[in-house]
Amino acid sequence: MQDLAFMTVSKVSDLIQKREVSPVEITESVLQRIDQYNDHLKSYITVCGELARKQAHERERELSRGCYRGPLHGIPIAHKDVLYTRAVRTTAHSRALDDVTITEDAQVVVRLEAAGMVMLGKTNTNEFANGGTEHYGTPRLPWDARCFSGGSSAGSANAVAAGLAPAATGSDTAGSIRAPASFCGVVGLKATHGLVPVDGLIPLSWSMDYAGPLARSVADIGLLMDAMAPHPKTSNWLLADCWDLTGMSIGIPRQHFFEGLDSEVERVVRRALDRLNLLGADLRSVDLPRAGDLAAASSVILAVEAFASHAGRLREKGDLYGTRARRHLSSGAFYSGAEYEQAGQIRTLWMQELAKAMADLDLIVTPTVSIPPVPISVEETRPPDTSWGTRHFNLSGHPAISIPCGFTESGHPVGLQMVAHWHDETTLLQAAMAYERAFPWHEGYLALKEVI
Amino acid sequence: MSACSDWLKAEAKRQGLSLDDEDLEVIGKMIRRTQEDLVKRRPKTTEGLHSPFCLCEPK
Repeated sequence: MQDLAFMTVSKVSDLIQKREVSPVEITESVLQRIDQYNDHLKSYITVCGELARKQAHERERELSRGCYRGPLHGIPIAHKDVLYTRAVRTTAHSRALDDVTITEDAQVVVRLEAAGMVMLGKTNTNEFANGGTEHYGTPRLPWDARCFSGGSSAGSANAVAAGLAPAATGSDTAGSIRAPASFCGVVGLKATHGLVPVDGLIPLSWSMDYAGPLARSVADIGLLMDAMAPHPKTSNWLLADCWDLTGMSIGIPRQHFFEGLDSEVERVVRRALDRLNLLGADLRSVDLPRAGDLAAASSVILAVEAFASHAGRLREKGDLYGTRARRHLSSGAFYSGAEYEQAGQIRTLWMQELAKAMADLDLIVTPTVSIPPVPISVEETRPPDTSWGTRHFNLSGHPAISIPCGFTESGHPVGLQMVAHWHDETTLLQAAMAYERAFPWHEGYLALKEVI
Repeated sequence: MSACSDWLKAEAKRQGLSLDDEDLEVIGKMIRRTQEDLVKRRPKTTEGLHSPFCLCEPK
């Protein structure tokens, strides 16, 4: 039964459609795994086993009536606990939401449920996707339980890697889907700004927030995206299997993204670039001199917009926030309007520079994170900057995906980030799929059946 | 308490935030570091350079 918990969404979908596996079987298999490992991995804040079983039985009854909702019918999913859900409590890893009643589901939850998915529960996150993890524990890296798996969609990523969910939702304000996907050896997508609805996602920064999927393969991400934000013309983001990158122009930034990398991360990523070449891609160096100028600008924008959103609750019950969240989210109160605008001007210059650099390219490729995962003690006391290579595309709005591209000598997964033009998720997913088909690092998570 | 800390304390009060001295010290360090970095990066020419009011595809 446990093997079912490690199958990709695409595989389970196929088995459900052929009636070889039932929604109840797959749900029970994953719930069993959650029961076994959630205390250790801290993947979920809330598990809704009873609701999941009820939904799985309903999906099964639908199938026996001949009602098949589509490829996600009867497949379990976990939702990051910053997405509002009516049926299951939403904590955002905070005590500040303890007495809040939710009246509407987040739009992505509605869409995935309409597609037939079964909700397993709410996954662990940094408090309000920005603070600490003192209330419900720190999600652990399945590959090395001494390390943190995030953040902030850390619970979603470790659940997908460790067989505690075939797929999950996450949110990404500066890299919070892509960084944990990279650390955990799974796939995570932040789509074009505005494509995936953020209604019902607890806001952190209105101009940098994204909701998106995490899964075990690019094909799975395509299926999830078809439900979360259907392609406006074709309904499907992945139109065909993709096996090579012939004719594709890929930019490799000269500045910032390859500077100061951990040596093991650099070794793995450089090898991945060679492999993109082997697949027929035309790799070119591109200049992005402003790429190193964005840390302060993104910090100011995020802090000011986060304060704007949290101000009311901070005034009313700031004492219920954890220390790190209270300080981070309050810090936006102390920047001036001039500083927020200056940050916005730096953002505009970056967007112009990136648009110009990408004019003759299909994609830009970078490491997702510059460092391997850090020990939990480091995350809890002096968290590193894991948005070092990702915040750029929250600022610019471009779609970006992290796919597994190998392991460090210590056995930690490394992620490769691909970035496409606005609304060109199809090219992004096709390129990512070609890479993973040729070099299936994404199947590395299967080792976790034995490792944990 | 330094003038900067006094300003932070007064501003926190004005904003209606209950932050203690330790909170303000940490926030102060955090924002000073960011402000110093922002000064180094701010554009020299600013006329006509707007913050994106509503994020849309760059041209």
